[in-house]
Amino acid sequence: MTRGPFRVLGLLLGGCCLHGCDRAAPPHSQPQRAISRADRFYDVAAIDAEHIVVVGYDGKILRTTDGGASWTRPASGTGRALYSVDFVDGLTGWISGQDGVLLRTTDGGSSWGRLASPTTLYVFAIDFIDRQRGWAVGDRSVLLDTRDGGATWAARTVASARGEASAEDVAAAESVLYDVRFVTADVGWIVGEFGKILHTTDGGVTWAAQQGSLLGGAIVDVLDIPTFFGARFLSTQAGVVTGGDGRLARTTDGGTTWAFEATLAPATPLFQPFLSADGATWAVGAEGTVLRQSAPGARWDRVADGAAGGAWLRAMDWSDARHGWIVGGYGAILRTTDGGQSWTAAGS
Amino acid sequence: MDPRRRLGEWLLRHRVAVLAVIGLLTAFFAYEAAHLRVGTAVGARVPRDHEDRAAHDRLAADFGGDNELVIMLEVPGGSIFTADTLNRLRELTAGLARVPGVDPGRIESIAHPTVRVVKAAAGGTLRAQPVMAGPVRTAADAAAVRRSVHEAENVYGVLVSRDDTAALVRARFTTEALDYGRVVAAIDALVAAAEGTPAPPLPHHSRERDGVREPLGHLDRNGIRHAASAALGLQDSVPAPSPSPAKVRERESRRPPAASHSEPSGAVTVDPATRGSQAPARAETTGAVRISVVGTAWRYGAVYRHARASLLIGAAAVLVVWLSLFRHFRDWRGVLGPTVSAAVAATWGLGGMRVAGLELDPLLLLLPVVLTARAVSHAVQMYDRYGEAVGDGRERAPAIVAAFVAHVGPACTGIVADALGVLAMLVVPVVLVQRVALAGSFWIASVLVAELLVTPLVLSYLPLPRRTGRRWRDRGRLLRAVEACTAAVLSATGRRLTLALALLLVAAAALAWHRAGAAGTASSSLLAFADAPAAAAARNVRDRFGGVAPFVVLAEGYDRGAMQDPATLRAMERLQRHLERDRAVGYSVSLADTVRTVNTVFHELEPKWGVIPNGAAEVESLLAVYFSGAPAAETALYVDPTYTVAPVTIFCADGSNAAIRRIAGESAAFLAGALVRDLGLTVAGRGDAVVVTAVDATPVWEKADTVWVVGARAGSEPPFVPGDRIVSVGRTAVGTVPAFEGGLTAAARRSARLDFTVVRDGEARSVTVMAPWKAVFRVAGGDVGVAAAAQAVVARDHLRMVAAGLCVIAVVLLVTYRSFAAALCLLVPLLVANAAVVAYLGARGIGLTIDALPLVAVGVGFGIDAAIYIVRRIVEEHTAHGDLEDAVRRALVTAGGAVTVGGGSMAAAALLWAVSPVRFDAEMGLLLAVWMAASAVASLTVLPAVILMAGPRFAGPGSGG
Repeated sequence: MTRGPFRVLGLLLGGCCLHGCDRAAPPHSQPQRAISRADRFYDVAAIDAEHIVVVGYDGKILRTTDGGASWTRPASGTGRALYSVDFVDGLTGWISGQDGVLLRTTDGGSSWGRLASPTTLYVFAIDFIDRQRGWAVGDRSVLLDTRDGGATWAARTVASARGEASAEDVAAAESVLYDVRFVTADVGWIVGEFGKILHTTDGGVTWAAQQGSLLGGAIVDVLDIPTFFGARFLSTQAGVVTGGDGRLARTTDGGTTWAFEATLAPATPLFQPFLSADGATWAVGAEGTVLRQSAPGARWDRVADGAAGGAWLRAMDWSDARHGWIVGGYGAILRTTDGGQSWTAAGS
Repeated sequence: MDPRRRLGEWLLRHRVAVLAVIGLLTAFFAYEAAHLRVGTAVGARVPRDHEDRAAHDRLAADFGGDNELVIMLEVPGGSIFTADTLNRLRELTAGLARVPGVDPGRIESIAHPTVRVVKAAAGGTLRAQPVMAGPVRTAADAAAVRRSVHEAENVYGVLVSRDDTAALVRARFTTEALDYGRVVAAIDALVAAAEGTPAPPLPHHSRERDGVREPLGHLDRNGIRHAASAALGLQDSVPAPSPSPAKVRERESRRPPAASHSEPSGAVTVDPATRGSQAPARAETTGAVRISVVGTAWRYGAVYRHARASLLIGAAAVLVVWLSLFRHFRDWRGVLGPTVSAAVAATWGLGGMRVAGLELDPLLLLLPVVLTARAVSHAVQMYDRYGEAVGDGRERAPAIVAAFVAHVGPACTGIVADALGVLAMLVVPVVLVQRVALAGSFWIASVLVAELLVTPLVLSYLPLPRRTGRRWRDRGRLLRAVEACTAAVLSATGRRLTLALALLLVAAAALAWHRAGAAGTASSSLLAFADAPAAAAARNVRDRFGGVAPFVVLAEGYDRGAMQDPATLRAMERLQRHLERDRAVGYSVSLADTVRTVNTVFHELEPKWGVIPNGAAEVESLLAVYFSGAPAAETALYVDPTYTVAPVTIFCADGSNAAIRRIAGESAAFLAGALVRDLGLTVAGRGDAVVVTAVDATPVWEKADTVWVVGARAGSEPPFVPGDRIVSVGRTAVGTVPAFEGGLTAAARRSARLDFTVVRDGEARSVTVMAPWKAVFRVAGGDVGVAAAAQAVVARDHLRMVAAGLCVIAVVLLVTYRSFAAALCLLVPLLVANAAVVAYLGARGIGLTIDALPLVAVGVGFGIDAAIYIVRRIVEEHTAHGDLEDAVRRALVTAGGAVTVGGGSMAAAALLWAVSPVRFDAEMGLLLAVWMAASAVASLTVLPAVILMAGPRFAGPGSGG
């Protein structure tokens, strides 16, 4: 009677002492965030009011099918930055990115496939006018174009028709091209470093520089024109470009003449404009800047102040007159459902 | 003649000499104790055997220790970007450099020269400059600072909150030089000055210009101004070489400064003035400034803030013990004896700590309570025996000798077993626990001197107590209560019920085990109650920045310049992004953020350029710009001067043990998996083998002699092909994917040369590759990093530690009683008490942390003395009266009474700490009260029940127990 309990006790003690007890539990799974404050989003495509695709750093693609209430993260297959996204309909879209990354979806953004790319340069912008015809631009004046929906691409360096033989133009050679926009299969624009505004009327075969019309006032040299980061066109005649030092330039004659609309936010770059069908002009930029002009010539208003703090805002897109999206740094995804009167952070 | 009697009589004969020797030694220890430093080295919590211990030490040496202080200056509902607030921040930053122990070169704040932004300047150059180069005089200056902050991703959201309402000042201490008392006082003064309304008092050398204070002498004294001036001077005179191509220089030289643009004003309605940039500086102040202070140093220093309360509680505890003893003995000698004994033991214990080079950790202020309880317990037994001898009609000297003879055996056994049991905690490879084991063991051993030498000799100088005292006690309510309990416990039903309850408690403890391990928070956060200012401060910082406690991973390069390698920087980023997906993580910073930021500025703030460049030369150029003109000490916040080592700091919002374990686990798993991915391999476990299932096109391998290296052109045969079975990495056999990842991690940390044994087509072959990475990552420290490492040890070693302590005690008992049954029987109350503690920790959900572990360790043998005294008495009574049940009953009302008094009074004293404003002390006070009470109750109930049911031989007549 006396031995049993003691033996058990002894065995227990001895066992614990000799072997210890590792009860370190494996890490518990934790619900993870779709959107982190470290996210940097470079572009947004508003397919419709519910279907949105956002692209950004580290190969991140976010997709919502419920107007931003929830987000999924389709695999991109790359860790490189994704700079630009463009959809021509509800199913077909393309993404361009760092190191020549080109992706395509044919199912509305649920899945993305890698396209063979002719370049390893950064491809900052991509634009398609239909399922077959598209262009992309990027670092060192690279221009890519495809006629088969991205299956094959041709790459070349853009040179403007005026030639760039002067000493000052040598500095601007192979400058960075930040945006490309086509309004028809023939007519399009490219904007970029050193204030470049290049125009084509032959589908991108030849390009003509248009920024010369911006000279005047304090700007006496084309190299004084700030870099343009974004462009939007409503037609072959009307468009805007935005760039460094809070500059926005507008044309209403197809680019024959461009004119600055004043320094909207001095020292604050404006990265992308947007032209609404209702005549309003928008621009987003650094330090949480969102500007709106109800009609050309009207006063500019700063909107969405504080919605993104001081984060840079890189892109804006609208699915209709009421539903708009802005994306930017620090995981900023802003949404409006009232035509831009109020902007709120989309859910994470 | 009984040697114990001879020793007792010898002591009395030579009492002057003995007391003189003890007095001299006590004086020596008193001197040492008076100079005992209260402090802590956070690193002492990092396990010695932790695989990343070396990284922790390197982090501490190169980038500052774990002891960190964070001050948040906040303008609730407003903006910090006003001249007034920014100048407050500047003064706060400058003042922090003067706080004792703060490393002036390792302060992070937008008002400190170490925090820089890169600006494109006329002339085509980029240059780095402090965010705030000097006093902010106008609203335009403040707006410029705001713009600089918003442009810098390594600053915005890191040192300034995303809503612009708060700014952080982060400082690191040189741990060894830290004096918490002075730190707390200095920070209090800083906070008072910064929160001052409408403005903090100006230093005596300051002047006011344009409504903006310019504290001249204030800054000159601590060198901040000199540092800033030096940095500015360098920037002004020696612009950093630009990495930009000629075309960019051309562009910049042609571009007029942004401020000089003048445009037709017609259409312009959006202007910086709409943000108040043209308003007078003073008028810009919006709302009151609120300061929140967090960080390890501050939390530990908070113990000092409550020093008065702690002293009062300590005094009240002593009073409670005195009153309890006096009520029991009805004699002031019964109070004086234990008091002297405890005081001598405490003096020796504290003095011994200093002699051993230890310091008293602020979190171990209750350690003296645990140890003093032992001294009191023994002294009560001694005086009880003395009272009995006097009551039996003996004179003073014979009574002392009689008490000594009866006491010396169990006292020696109990104290030696206890001391060695505590010493067994050396098995835990944590410096803090080992220090406490040494100090606690010595302290307990010193009770032997106090108990066996001092108490009898003190009694020999005191007048004989009243002989009626014992008779009064024999009729007292305590006795009646003990008798009633004894009768209940010793009944046939009572015994079974008692044992059943004890088993139930052990089972509950086992159930609570998991909860106790998973629950709890980072150790030092236990210092503050949820509603305490310190906790509120932590919440404030968490609300504004998303994270408070740092978790640091160190990237260690194989060679100089490894941190300029784009792949290394991307690996840093991947780790950051991976951990940031966890909701317990707020944000993170690393050198990669700096590189991206500079790259963005280099490209006119276009965010699409905020990437790590593909070329090492480009990275090198960007870093050269950022650090140009900065003293080496200032770059050490981000990278060592040779670009070999850099920290990645993850700031965590959730300090719970579960979160800490998860983050550390995620980090380790991700890093291990990353190595496999970087080798271009996809592997899977199949049976007991690791099989290569896919090989990526990158990296591209070339064979150089017998070694594969990363090259530009693929060799004839790749090092791995799909289907390969990887058998070993180095000398480590790998049979599973985790083992493979672990082996690869260990091998990579040793060398860039990696040896594999691969079975291909049934043939084993050696494959040696040079690692495609230039750096390896190790968890190195930070509040959470240290807690994670320590928690792993707590989880692994707690039970082992308790078992080791109990086994050592069992061996001592075995040697003493020469009976396995005696040893195990006497351990029963200890087991029950330890189970009660575990159950309590689980029930309270406070978990077991590395800081609680030392207290738990020192308490392992708690109550062994009570059990020994009771057993000794049982044997005596059994020998005298021949009936075991009667002997048990008599032992419980005699020795058991003293146990009740000693344990009860100390439990009551410990309970007083429950009202401590220091949360850790309050929790531990409750824990100790539970422990002491459980220990006493187990000795008085479970032990006798076991003895009666088992009827062991050691309790038999004349067994010598």
